[in-house]
Amino acid sequence: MKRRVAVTGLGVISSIGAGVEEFWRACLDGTTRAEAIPEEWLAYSDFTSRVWSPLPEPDYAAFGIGRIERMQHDPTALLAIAAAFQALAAAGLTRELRDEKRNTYTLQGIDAARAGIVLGTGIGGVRSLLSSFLAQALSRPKEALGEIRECLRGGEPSRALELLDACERRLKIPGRMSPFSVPMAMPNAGASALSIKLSLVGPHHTFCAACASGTVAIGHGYRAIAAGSSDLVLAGGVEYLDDGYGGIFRGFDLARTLTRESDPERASRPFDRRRSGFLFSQGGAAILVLEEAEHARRRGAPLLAEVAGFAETSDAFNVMLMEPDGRQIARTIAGAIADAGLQPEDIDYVNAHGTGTLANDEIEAAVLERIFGTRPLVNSTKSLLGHTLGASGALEAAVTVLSLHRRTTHACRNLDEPISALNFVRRVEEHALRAALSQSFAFGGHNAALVFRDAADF
Amino acid sequence: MSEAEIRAETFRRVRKVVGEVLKIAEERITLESRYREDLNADSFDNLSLFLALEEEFNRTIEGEGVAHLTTVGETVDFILGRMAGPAPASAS
Repeated sequence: MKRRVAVTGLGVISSIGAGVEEFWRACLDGTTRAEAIPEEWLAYSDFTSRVWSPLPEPDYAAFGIGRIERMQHDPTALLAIAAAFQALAAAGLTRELRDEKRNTYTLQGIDAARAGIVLGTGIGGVRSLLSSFLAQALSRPKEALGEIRECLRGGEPSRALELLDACERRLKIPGRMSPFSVPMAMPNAGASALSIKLSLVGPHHTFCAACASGTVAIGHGYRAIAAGSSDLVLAGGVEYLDDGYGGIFRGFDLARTLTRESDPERASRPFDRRRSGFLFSQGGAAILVLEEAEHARRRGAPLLAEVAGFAETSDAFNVMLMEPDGRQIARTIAGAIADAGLQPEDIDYVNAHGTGTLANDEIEAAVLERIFGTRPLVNSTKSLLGHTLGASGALEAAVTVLSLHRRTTHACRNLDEPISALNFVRRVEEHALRAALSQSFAFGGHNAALVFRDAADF
Repeated sequence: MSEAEIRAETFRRVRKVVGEVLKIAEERITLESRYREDLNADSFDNLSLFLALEEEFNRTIEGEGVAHLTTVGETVDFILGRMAGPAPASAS
């Protein structure tokens, strides 16, 4: 029987008021907040519309958010935290400090394993992305402008001209700003394009779960079919990471996540002692057609594999670091296997997240060994493709399906000195694979795992 | 200001930033303090420190950031070395 759902707290940050009471009073008073767009914008474009509704910056200190934390988060995350703190207080839920350095809390009397978050966003952290991007694209041209000024003052016009040429070359600017820039930039652009292209009028969602996005999307597609709300779902992941200036690449480079290997052939080496970071991929995509089994049988469709289980958890630990004990990763894997009605010993093959970063591979290998011992085959598709972020989970799910269907799988590339005794795939051989796991762990603490079964078990 | 005074002032500012990032009382932070062993800093703290030092000293720290610095004293020397160099335009 369907459970009934109540609302017990509200939090609001808006241009007309922060906090439910102020906001509601402003609503009832018919308040609006509209003013002329910032004067400095007019230097860049001739705008048709010249008003906007600015959002006053919330008093983040009142929410216990200090200067360092404000530097670490995009405004969307800060706004979400502020509104959530209000809502929790209104609901009578008390926060208890968990980690003073990280400024994190627990909720008194709440089973954290049974509590989740669902947020929607149109463009997410694009402000932070563009801000870093402008620094990447314009810092050196601006520096050159200063040098040109000095050259002109110092009577060196030919040097000034050289610098101007270099400056102009560096400014790679698209011919125009597109009127489609908003629908092109929004994270749901891919799903939306598929829906329109294929006239699919059922619900379409976009999951933003960083490097686990593809796995999470397939998991929710599977759940939609399992719950009876859809019969067919196109599920997968897509990513494209070339901005023409290396800005996105530099973001990961600054975070010290990328390979230091100079030999391209050896650049991606997950689970190897000499790994030094992941190989950044320009992008990729994989889409799986998920279909209710009878629906597929009726139309004589090929049955490649069964999506048998899915689970997802959150580390709730750090935006970039995996929890060292891998507790939630283990819970994710156990959850996916249980959802499939299987036991760990039934899993014959694991397509690991295996990025090639120092800490992550160590933690993942330890968790796999703890759960499975050294029996199942393990490989990392990222040893071949590098990391395609949000597409990686879908590409790896595709590899997992193919491995089950073709009864073989690919070897781990550049695995010279494995960091663990796991049964890493060293050569391409025939394997009687019955059930397999594909898993992803992401920035933001998203953990997701899918269990696939051989179609012969249908 | 003498060289010793400049170094003392730089240490005072570095110590303030380190204390704020790692949520540690400034009195606990000395020139000899090692980030990982004595101050319990991890790689995430290191990135936060990198950002906070850039802001404190209004300087862009290129390349490897501050990950290669193991003690607070090394950080002070690093900052003093950077301060002697030309200010990048992007820091303005």
